[in-house]
Amino acid sequence: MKVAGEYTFDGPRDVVWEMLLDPDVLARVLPGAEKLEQVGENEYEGQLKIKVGPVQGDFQGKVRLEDIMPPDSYTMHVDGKGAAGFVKATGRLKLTPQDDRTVMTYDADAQVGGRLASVGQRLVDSAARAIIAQSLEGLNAAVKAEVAAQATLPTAGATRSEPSPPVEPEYRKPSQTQFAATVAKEVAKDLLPPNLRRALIAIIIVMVLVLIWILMT
Amino acid sequence: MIPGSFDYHSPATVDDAVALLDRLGGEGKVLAGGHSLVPAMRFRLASPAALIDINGIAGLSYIRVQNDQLVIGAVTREAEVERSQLVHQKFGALADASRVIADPLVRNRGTVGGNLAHADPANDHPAVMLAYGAEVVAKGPGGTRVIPIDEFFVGLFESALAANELLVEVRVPLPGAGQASAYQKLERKVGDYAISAVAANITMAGDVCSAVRIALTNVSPVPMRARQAEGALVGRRIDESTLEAAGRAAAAECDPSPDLRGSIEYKRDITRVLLGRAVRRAIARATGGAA
Repeated sequence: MKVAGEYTFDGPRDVVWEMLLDPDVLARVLPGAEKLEQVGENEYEGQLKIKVGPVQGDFQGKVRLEDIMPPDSYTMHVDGKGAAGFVKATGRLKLTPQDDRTVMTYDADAQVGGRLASVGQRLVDSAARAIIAQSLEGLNAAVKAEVAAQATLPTAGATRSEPSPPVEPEYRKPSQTQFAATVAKEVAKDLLPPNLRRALIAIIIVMVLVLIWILMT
Repeated sequence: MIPGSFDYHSPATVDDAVALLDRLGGEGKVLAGGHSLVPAMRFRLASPAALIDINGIAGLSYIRVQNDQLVIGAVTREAEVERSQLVHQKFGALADASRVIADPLVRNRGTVGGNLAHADPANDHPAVMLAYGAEVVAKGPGGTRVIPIDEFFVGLFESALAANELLVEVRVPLPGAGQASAYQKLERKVGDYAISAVAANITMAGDVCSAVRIALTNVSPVPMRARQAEGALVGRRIDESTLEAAGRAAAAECDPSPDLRGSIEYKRDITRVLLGRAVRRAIARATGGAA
């Protein structure tokens, strides 16, 4: 199926371009991706968790960027495989500056197969649009944060090469708690009957968070 | 396939159900009729950690008039709505919809509350309730709140209900003088989801439309009102040309996705035709004509 559209980011083109090449930002854009690991030049891998209402699918995702023409456009290949089906998509992204904002036009060709596609056929198109909208809003939030961060720095051009620190903690906090909660739930499920689970989960969450805090300081 | 494993709870009261939802925090799904949820679980597309079965809660299944409103309990089966004389006499769109929701077997179990809470744009009640300007009553740990239907459908499968809220009642305003409604649905075969469907709720003053609400089924990711079509009708004398203009407006403002039921152009055109039929039928009922 074809998915095409346009989205306006609240930031200048070079900021948006940098973010679109940054794997940590791409991890935010791709739904439910906690982290993308680099496995080659401009090639990344990670777990994608796609959730639309009650339906949830976990996919092993590979992202590859090609035909990179800074600061203008690139082609993104996404390959996701999971128990619920597979997704293969190729999209061309193009950035056009518009005053201090950036208009991104995207044109993608996607194939969805497996159980998701056969059982959920009527929803594939709407779900794709909903997921893309979620991702773009997440990316726009990151762009706005980066622009705000750059505006408060005394020296110009200081942070172009890395994602700026103010953005990171905001992203990490919810995921640490979520991660701790997931760990806790899995451990508790294996160990205990339901009525004691809640207490054990709470204790484990606190322990994991303390551990993370210790490791980080 | 069979569902993955889950915890099962069967609370006896609404408060118990809400307490469970609050404790499970999004990991629990409410089980009412189960005819949207269980198939998804069977295909392992949905894997809630826990099911909260509300079928055992007494006092959630009723259809009656209260304070100038038709109030319907959340666990009222579609078959009960289909059999209700009260609905049949005054709520044309609701009566029409109750006959075309899925098939009789599903209607014996499926509930009005579930049909709305699932927030599937292909379900029939969302458009009908949007056309009625209904209200949804939700009970949460903090108490009860009333959600106007225009604010209820937020996204694809996403309603305004919080993860710890239970939909307990739907309230539909009683029709006034000269007001009637109709629901027209086109489906490929009995029991199918709509290719497109239109719910129209119109108030006539002579042959002029004084008020109208129109909503569409399965031609947008979120159940929608056809506001452009409404604008083409309200305050005007209704004749073939106004109906045609309203139909074209609805066709243009909807946002169908192509699938096995049809292409975008086909679904738009069916919407145009169904709008004309639904409005004509509603007007006939409003002016005391055919049912």
